[in-house]
Amino acid sequence: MLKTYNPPHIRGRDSNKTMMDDVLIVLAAIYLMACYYYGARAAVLGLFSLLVAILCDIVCKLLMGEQLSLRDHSSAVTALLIPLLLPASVSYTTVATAVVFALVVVKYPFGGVGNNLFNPAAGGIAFVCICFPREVFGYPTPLEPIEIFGKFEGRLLYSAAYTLKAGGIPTGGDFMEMLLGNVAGPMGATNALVVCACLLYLIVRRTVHWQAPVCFLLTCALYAYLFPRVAISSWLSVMYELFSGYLILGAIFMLTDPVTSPKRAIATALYAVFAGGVTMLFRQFGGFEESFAFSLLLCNAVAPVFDYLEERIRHQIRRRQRAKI
Amino acid sequence: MYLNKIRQHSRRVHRFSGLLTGNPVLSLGLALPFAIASTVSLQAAFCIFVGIAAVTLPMMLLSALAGRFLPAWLRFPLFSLCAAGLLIPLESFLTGLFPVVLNSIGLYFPIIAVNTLLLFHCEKEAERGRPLQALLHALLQLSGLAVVLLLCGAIREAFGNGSLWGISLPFLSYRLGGLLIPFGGCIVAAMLAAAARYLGRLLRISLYRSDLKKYTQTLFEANEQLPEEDLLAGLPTAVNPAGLQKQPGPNGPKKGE
Repeated sequence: MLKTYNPPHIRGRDSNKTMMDDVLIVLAAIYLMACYYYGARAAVLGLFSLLVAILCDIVCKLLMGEQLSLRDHSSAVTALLIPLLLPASVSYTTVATAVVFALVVVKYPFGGVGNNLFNPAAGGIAFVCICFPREVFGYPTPLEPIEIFGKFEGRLLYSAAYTLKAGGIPTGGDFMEMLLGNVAGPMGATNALVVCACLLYLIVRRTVHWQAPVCFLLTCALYAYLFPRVAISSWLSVMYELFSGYLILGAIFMLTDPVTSPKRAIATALYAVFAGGVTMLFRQFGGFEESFAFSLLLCNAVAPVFDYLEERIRHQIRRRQRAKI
Repeated sequence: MYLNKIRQHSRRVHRFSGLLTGNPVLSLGLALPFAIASTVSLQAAFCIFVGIAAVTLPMMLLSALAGRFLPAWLRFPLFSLCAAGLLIPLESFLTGLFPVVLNSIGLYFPIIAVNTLLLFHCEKEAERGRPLQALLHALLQLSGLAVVLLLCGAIREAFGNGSLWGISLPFLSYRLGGLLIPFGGCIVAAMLAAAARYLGRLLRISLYRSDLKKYTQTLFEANEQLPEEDLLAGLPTAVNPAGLQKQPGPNGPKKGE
C-alpha cells in the first residue's frame, strides 16, 4: 500500500524527505515563537492544518489511484506554513479552506508532488485573502491571551504593512519592536530574527539555493531605498518594507520551493530579482496590504522561462567556444 | 462479438456528442468566457443560456441551409449580424424579467453574437449542409452547454452567496466570496472538466472490463486458448480506478494477488 521511492523532482543524493525534514525543523522553531506570542492556539492551528492536509492527501491519492507515501512530507510543510502566514485570531474553517484549496486545487490536479505549477501555500493564502480579507488582515495584539478554540472576540489591529500602505510609519518609529516580533502581524512572520536564523540554517544545509532569498530581498531593499512609500529616510524605508508583512518568511519558504522555482543558479538569481520587483510593485499598487502570495503565483507561471533562457545562453556560449576551437 | 459493450458505448457517444461527451465547454473549450465570468448566479447563467440558445438554433439551421452558397469570408460577419439582430429584442425581453441580473451580466450578453460556440458549429454545418442533423446537433450541444452553465451558476451562487435563484439558503452559512469573481469561475469550470473526464474514463474502463469478462467466459466455454493477461495490466495505475477489481485469469488468481 505504501511506496518507498522518491518523488520525481529530486535527482541527487538528497531526497524529498531530507529537504522537507529540514524545513519542518525550522518551522517548528517558528511555531515555538508563535506560541510564545499567541499561546497554544498557534500550535493547535498548526496541528489542525496538518490533520486537514493528511485527509486531503488520502482522498486525492485514492482518486488518483496512487499509493500513499510516508516519505513525502511536502503536504505537511504546506499545511504547517499556511497558519504562519495568517493571524493567530483566524478561524479554523479559514485555515481548513486554505489547506484544502492549496492541496486539492493547486497541487494534486497538476499531478501531485514534483509536478505542481504553482506554490500550493501561495495559492491557499491568495484564495483566503480574496474570500475573507477582514479575517486575514486583522491581527491580535501579541502577548495577549487568546482562547484555543472558538471565535476571537478581542480587538484586532492593523499590521505594519497596512500602515505603510496607508502612508503612515509603523509602530510609531520603533523599529526594534518590529525586529523582535512584538507587533501585530502574521503569526510566524513578525519575529524577523528567528526567521533569518532559519534562513541561515537552510542555506548551510543546502536545502535552499541562497540565490533566491538573497537576491529577492536585495531587490526589495533596492526598490524600497529608491522609492520609499512614506516620508522617511531611505534606510528606514528599507527596514520597514523588509520586516513588514511576510516578505522574509515568503522568500525563505515559498520562493525557494524546489518544484516551482528555476533549477539553475543564474536562472534562480534572475527569477528572484524579477520576483522582488513584481512583489514591490504589487505592494505599492495592489489592492491588498500584503500581496506576496499573488506576486509569487505570477512569478511561478514564468519560472520555466528563466531556465530556458539560461540554457539557450549557455548553448550559444558553448557553440562559440567550439567554433573558436 | 468481442468488446460489444464498448463498441455500443462509442456509437452512442458519437451519436449524442455534446450531451454525453464532447461537451462544448468542458471538452471543446467553447463559450468559456460565458461559463467563467458571467455565471455568478443561477439566474445569470439561465439568461446567458437563453441568449446563446436563441441565436445558436436559428443560426445553425440557416448555416446548414444556406451556408454552402455563401463565400467563406462572408459567413462569419453575416452570422454574427443575424445573431445580433436576434439578441436585441431578446435582451429587452429579459431585462423586463431580470433587470438586475442583466445589468450585472453587462457586456457578456451582447457578445453572445460572436461567441465561439455559434461560429464554430455554424462553419461546420455550413460545410455539411444537412439541416435536420444541424438542428439535432445544435440541440445536443445546447443541452451540454445548459448543464455546464447552470451547474456553474448554481455552485458559485450557493457557495459564494449562500443563495440559489435569489432564495437564501439558511443551511449554507459558510460563504466563499472568491467564487464570485472570474478566478473562482475558472476553478469551478476546471473542476467540472476534470470530473467529467474522470467519470468518462471510469465508464469506459468498466465497460471494457465487463466485455473482457464476458469474452473470457465465452472462450472458456468453447475450450479455446485464453488471453494471458488483462490488456490494461501494462498501463499506469492512474488509468485503473481504485474501485475496480481485477478479474482472475482462467488458471485462478496469480501468485501475490
